[in-house]
Amino acid sequence: MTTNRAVDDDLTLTLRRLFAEVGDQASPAPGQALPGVRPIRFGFARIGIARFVAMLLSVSTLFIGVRVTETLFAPNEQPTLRLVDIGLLTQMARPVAPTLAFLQEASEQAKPLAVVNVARTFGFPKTLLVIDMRADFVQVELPETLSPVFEGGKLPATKHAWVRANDVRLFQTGDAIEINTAKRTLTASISGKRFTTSIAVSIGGFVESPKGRFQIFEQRLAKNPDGVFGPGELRLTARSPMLETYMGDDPYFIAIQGTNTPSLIGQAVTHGNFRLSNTAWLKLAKLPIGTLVIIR
Amino acid sequence: VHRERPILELLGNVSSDWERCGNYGVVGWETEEAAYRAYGSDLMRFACVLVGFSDAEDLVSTTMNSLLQSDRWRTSDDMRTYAMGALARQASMHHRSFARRRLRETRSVSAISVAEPTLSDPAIWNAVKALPVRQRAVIFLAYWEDQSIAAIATTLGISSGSVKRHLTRARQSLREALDDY
Repeated sequence: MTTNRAVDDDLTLTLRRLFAEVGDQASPAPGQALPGVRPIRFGFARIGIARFVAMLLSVSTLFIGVRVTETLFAPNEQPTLRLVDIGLLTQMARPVAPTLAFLQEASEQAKPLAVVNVARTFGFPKTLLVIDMRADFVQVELPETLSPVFEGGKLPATKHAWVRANDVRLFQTGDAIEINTAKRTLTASISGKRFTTSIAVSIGGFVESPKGRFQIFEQRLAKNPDGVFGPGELRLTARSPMLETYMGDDPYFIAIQGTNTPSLIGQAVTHGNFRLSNTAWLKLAKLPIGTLVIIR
Repeated sequence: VHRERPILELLGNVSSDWERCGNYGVVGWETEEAAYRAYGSDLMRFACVLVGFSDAEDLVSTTMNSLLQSDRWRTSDDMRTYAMGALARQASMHHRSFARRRLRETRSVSAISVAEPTLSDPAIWNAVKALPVRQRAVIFLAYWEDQSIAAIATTLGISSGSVKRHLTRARQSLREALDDY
């Protein structure tokens, strides 16, 4: 009879017997019915218990589970993948050849859509998101910024293209940023740790930020850290659908910026960019060029 | 189908020593999975007491889904206690929505046959099932988990006074039910 116990009376035995029996009669916990449940690897996503719970118990969550595995690699323009839902692990390709030929099909005879000088092409993230793989070819997602900078200004017809496997080096990363424009939050996964922070988003209307899957392509540190962008900005491969330039500057790329007016964070005040606190921005600045950014 | 093949070996030029490849283990669900594997059956037992045999699996899966959405569970001091508390909170929500749903279903279907396992002492089980959800949670934690009043209050996120009150009322109604029987 420990003093810590909340109860000690004649009901104890009856109830303990009852709860013991309830536990014996209960069906096994969802997902534990299968012997040796292990996280399943679908491509490069690891979906463990969440997927099993979803699979076994509810038709609606089963649908979500399937959708996650499908859209991780499907050439889908809508960002259905949720960073917070799964341990997101993306496959990336970094060019090792000075020029990269984008092909329409995974064959040696295919005519290149374009040949890009990796070092000199502006807006090229240097790291490409891998969609699919074959024996000697890798399918990558073309950054949106790439379209207007092709020689001759010719736009590729597709958002995805094949590159030769020998021209790139593959690696996996769990780093990603997810921006929720409705909730005005930014969630970042950096070296396995996640944090969420409040951000300022666009005022809407014609300067609405584009939604989709993008990448960081450039990190710019501000000459004056007390300026309007705080310590600097991370430029994304997202382009404003309406604005051509901003204050006579470069083409209008959407960027993640610091701020010198912290009171505006969490409000809809920007022209498409995302503004967050300077401390949060400095954390994001550790992410490498090419990091996946999902805007929804 | 080709996605399932070991593509990394297929392509020869894979760099395994990239500076951020070390993330691999951290971004998975290892912590959550280990916790769930360890405490899954405890959670099921608690869920059966809270909402009955038929809805227990639903409750556990709903709770797990919401726990996996945030980092709070992973970073909590005691994952088992946190999961138990989440289950109890979910059960009260579950109870409200499911009571309405069951009413609708009962109206449309004349006879519902839910396969409930037969227990050796149905009287006490019926008495427990007649209690409000909060009281069930309290008596389970007190009588089965052997928790103190303060620990129950922490688990359920309510005050010690409320725990004592729930415990007294639950005990009272259980005694009355058993005496009638």
